[in-house]
Amino acid sequence: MVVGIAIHSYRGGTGKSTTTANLAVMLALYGKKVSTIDLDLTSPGLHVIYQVSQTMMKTTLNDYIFGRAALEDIVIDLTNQLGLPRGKIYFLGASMKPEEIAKLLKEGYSEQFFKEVTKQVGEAYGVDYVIFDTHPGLNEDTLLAVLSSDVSIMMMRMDKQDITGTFVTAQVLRKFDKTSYVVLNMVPPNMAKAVELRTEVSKLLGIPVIGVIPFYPEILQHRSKGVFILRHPRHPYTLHIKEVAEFIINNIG
Amino acid sequence: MSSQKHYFIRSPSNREHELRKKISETLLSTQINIDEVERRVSSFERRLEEILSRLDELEHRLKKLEELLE
Repeated sequence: MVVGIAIHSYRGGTGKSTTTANLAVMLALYGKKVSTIDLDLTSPGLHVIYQVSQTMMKTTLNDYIFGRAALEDIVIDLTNQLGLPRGKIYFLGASMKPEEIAKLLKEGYSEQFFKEVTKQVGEAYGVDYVIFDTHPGLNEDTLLAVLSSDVSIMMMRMDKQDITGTFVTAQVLRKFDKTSYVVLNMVPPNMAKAVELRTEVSKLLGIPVIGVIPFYPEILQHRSKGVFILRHPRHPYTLHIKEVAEFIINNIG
Repeated sequence: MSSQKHYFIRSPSNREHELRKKISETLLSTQINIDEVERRVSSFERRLEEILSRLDELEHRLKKLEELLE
């Protein structure tokens, strides 16, 4: 069975794309077949982390959505490029062309799309997980992506604006009985040391916290040049991603 | 991998419209008491500050203990 996971956040800049790419690779290192879909359609960026140039993306997710291309024409198998010894990573990238972005924003995407792409990727590539890297915010299209997935993972930074927005988002998701989890990202290192942090945030939001990732300047210095955990397998960041991946493997799907 | 290609065909689906409609209605009808939200978030932040102060204090004591042991 394919499990659809939506990674989203109330605000931008919470590390959704970085987490999506690293988490997907970690799941692959556990032998899983993972497909990552860039749904941050107004500002796609997952391809930068995967080092996929726009020229490599002859056709994009936008072409698939509008029936101009088949799934097999837009899926890029990154397994060899990333040098993965096991598992599989597939990538479906969005177009960066302004006219394509405008067209999609105008027409919106449908729940049918999420169900269909998840089903088809499962059929064609036998994937275990489909991870949607969504656009931030509490808008209709993003909520459609979140609610059409099996599970939602909210990324949150520990600043008041983000905490307040995530609190409100959690209240909305509760109305739909959505299975949700929270990953705290870029947490100030002294705060990340507090063992009570998870419990306190879970209590506030009413959603389990499945990861606490401290702020590491090395991630910024890496500047999205490739998948961090592959270049730094012993870095503490990698261990935090491993924890989230293990939670997914053991509890989701 | 199967040789058959997979296309996405948009079809008018009642369920889809229902979900979009439900999302729209929920967003419009959700009554958020922002004062209450801010009160809860502020209370959470105060609790976090207390925890951090306690951690600082513990680290300070640990450092002193290490100095004494040296």
